[in-house]
Amino acid sequence: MKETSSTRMKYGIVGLVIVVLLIGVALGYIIPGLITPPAPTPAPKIKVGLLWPLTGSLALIGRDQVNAFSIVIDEVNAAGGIKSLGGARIEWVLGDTKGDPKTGAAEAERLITEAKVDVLVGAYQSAVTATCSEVAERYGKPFLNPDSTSPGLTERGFKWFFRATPHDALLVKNMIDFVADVEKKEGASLKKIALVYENTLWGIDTAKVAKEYAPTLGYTIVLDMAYPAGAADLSSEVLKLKATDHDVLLQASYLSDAILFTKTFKELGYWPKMWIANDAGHIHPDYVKTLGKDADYVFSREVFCADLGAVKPAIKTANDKFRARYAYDMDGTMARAYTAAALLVDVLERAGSLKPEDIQKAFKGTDWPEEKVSMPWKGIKFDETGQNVKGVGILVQIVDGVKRTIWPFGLATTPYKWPVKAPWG
Amino acid sequence: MIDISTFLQVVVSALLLGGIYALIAAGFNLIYGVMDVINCAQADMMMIAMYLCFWFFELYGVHPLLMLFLATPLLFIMGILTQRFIIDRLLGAPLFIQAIATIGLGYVLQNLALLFWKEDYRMIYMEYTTAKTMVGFISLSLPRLVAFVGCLVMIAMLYMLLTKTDFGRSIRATSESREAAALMGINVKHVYALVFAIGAACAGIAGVFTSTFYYTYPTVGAVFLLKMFVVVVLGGCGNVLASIAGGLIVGLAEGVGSFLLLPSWKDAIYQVIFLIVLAIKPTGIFGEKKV
Amino acid sequence: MPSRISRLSSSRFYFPCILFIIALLLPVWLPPFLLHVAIMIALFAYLGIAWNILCGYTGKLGWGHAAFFGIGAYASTALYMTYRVSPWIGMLLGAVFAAAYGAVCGIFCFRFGLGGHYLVIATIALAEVMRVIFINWDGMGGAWGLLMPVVPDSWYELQFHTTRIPYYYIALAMLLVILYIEIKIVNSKLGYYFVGIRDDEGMAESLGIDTFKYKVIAMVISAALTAFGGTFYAQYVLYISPETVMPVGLSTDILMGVVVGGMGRIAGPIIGAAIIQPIHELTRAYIIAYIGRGGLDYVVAGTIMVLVALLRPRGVIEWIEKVYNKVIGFLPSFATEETT
Repeated sequence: MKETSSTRMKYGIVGLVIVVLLIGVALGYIIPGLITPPAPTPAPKIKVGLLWPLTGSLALIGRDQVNAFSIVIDEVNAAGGIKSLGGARIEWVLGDTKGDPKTGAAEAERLITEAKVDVLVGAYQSAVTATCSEVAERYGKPFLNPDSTSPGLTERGFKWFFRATPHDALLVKNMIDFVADVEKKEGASLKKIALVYENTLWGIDTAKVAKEYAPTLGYTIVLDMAYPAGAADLSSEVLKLKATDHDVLLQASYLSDAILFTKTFKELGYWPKMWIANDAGHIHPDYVKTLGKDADYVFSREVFCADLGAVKPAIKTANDKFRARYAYDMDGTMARAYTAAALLVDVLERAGSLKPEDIQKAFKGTDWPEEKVSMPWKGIKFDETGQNVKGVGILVQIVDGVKRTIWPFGLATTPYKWPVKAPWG
Repeated sequence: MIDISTFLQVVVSALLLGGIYALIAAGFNLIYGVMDVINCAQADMMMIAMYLCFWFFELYGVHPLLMLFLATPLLFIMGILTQRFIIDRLLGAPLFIQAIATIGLGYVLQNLALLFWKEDYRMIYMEYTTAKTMVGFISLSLPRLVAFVGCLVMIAMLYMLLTKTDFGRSIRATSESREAAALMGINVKHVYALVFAIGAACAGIAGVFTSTFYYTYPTVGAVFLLKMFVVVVLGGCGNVLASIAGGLIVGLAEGVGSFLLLPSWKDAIYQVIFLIVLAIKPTGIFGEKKV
Repeated sequence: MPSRISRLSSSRFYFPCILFIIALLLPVWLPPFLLHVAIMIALFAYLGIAWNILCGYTGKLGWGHAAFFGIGAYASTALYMTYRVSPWIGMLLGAVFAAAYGAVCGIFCFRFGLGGHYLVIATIALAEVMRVIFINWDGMGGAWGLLMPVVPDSWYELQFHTTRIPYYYIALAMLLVILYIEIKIVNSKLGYYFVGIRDDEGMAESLGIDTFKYKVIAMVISAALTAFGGTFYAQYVLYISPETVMPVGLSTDILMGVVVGGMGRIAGPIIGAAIIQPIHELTRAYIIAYIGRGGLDYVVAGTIMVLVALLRPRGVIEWIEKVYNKVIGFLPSFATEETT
């Protein structure tokens, strides 16, 4: 059938009209976005972006931190919000980093540009924190980091990055200082150190500090063993340990590897003379929950221990509140999230405005005394690199399934148990 | 120098590990050998079985080994359903499409597990799971030993099923030629459904045994899947018995390799051995498809 | 003979032009997060096409492209961090290294005539070996990875911070270039040989075509092109590590898009990336973070994969094509009257 030119023209015109309408509608919808809205007047709501791994292998930790953080925020909101901002309530917005730097950065950007958060908090894994805080720096938004310990994070010359936790350069040294102290006290010789760490950013950072610091105090690293995290079987690693003559085992593992290692120790009959873990896996509540009695006697570097509530009221208050809601004690990671929330509330109160520069100034002006911090720290004060210089680390030991602070000796709530035989005999 | 007793211990532990890999690969090989279907969700089905063991232990105190009687039939049914709805339509498709479909299925399983059970690592920790026996100076982890023996038994049973029973005969006939088998009156659809279900059940059994010494989490399948592929191709695709050889080799490569060299190279060692074998005998040590 | 004017004004020509113009102007309208999604789509479309050149056209399925991606990322990053070499130059070197490794992989695999599942597993093995090498290579940051120093916006150093829009245009440009390359290859003798290998390798051999040579060529081209994508990623995220740029999962992500979109088709990878990437990004952003449980995006992606495999193994592109043709047919062509 041959189309006559007139019908063709008709179709053509109709088609053209529709196309123009579509484009017009599209433009009309999009163009308002072209005109940037005026800067928002301080809203009655304060938005905090939380960047943590909510999925992936460390999601447990992400969730823990959100829980701890939210306790403080809920309490503040219930008590009337931030007074200096007219009783503004704090609302938190979640960003799932998936434990991946690129995803974290994308989420950070989304939280800033779409959710319009005023401050960002996060992100646990140091690599993720690196990229997220880079986004914040770009947009000029304050970034509070409660929990990433890679020293390099505060060496970037950032102006908007504030790290509350002490970092690995300090914390790992604690482990070796403890060995030295025990040697002195017991008159023992523990000069040979075996390093076992997961082959990731965090593990490598740990090993790096240990390798730099230990020799200066006269220790030798006799075994430097990086293992792939999440391995199906750790027999070879443990057998390598058995085959190496050493006095101290320094280990950096997350939860699943920590449990598997301990299990394998038991199976293959290995027990180190002295065993110090670097936080993470060994201090997580699930470690004791899973292993029961077999979790006993390991030492771990930590940043917090619930039993310090006996010597520091701020810690007791914090832990009680957490325990009331979740029925178990906080560990270092949760405690740091809790403290970060408290710090943030204080910063907002002092800032009295939601302008980024004012919040930044308030951060810089932070000077908490020792009694105020719900951590064993000497206070909170940031230096020019954004690092809290008053943080300290402690060492804990698990005895009868409970973590007890045993170092520094001045802070210890109970004396340490050493030398000690394996909990399984 | 490395002393002999430690080295022997390393070898033994490595072999025990290899038995597990063989177990997982056996089911896969069955499915591939008979149906020419690549089931990338094999390891994820194993994950489901592991979770079942964990929850029944956690909530009802059921000993994981008892779950052999529950998890296996459950996974068998799951296999039948999967076969009916998905695999059946993929029978003639190019291998790649099968892989994509089963990977997709794997993703769904993993992430449903993640949605329901969260990302926490779940480990069954009880007297049995940390028990060990000593043979001379060699320490053998009891759950692993049982798993190893169980694997051999299971593969032997599979082999007997395939060679000594009538049903096994129909399976082998169907794997030789679908048309000829149909002409001989064998209900090919039933055979396929059952074979896939048995394969899934194998994954279930592997999961039950593995849950006695390893922790489970939604993506635990990934830890075993890659190795499973290497075991399969190493031993010979579709060859159920050869799974044992493949599994032991990979286990040895991993265990001994990471002891002699460095554990951080663990993941590469068995891959390199695999590539070498591929270069020498591309069809795998025992060749192809001797179901 | 339709006159030139009538050809140019036909809807078949101007409609793609409209789409292209919209793509060009997109960044002006998109909020930063959606811009990120668009950049991801462009990047994965690019990587998908690079993969397609080997696997879609020759039918030889590789699952190890993450290695080439990572090599590209590491080469340019390492050069930049040590010698301040511009990533633009670094990416060329990255492509060279990746091509070299591609040749190694290709020669190894195809020398032994590997195909099908053997090839898949062999390429995975080769990629894993490379990943483990980088994990243990302290000079390249080992398992820690490399953290790129942040510098002010610069085209020389390929970093932009005040706005991410330049990244979008770079990705778009890369996509267009590789699209052009793809079309050129498909329409050349090379492409003809590739497809011949896919359709019937035995016959191709008997016709005197050196299938080994062409398979290796395909692998090398694919590898080199993938490496450019790696450099782009490194400059976009500013942090790379063996876990983030070389895992098997990345290879899967790349080919997922192509398979869903349509293998062996020119626009297949683009369509696939446009479907899969938004699923990941948007479900994570708007659903996962709120329900606090992860995995939804992979449930959706996984389901789509199963459905595509079952219903449309040739890819969604078949549907898109139909719709596209309908739209074109519907749009008016401003042709002058043709007298017959």
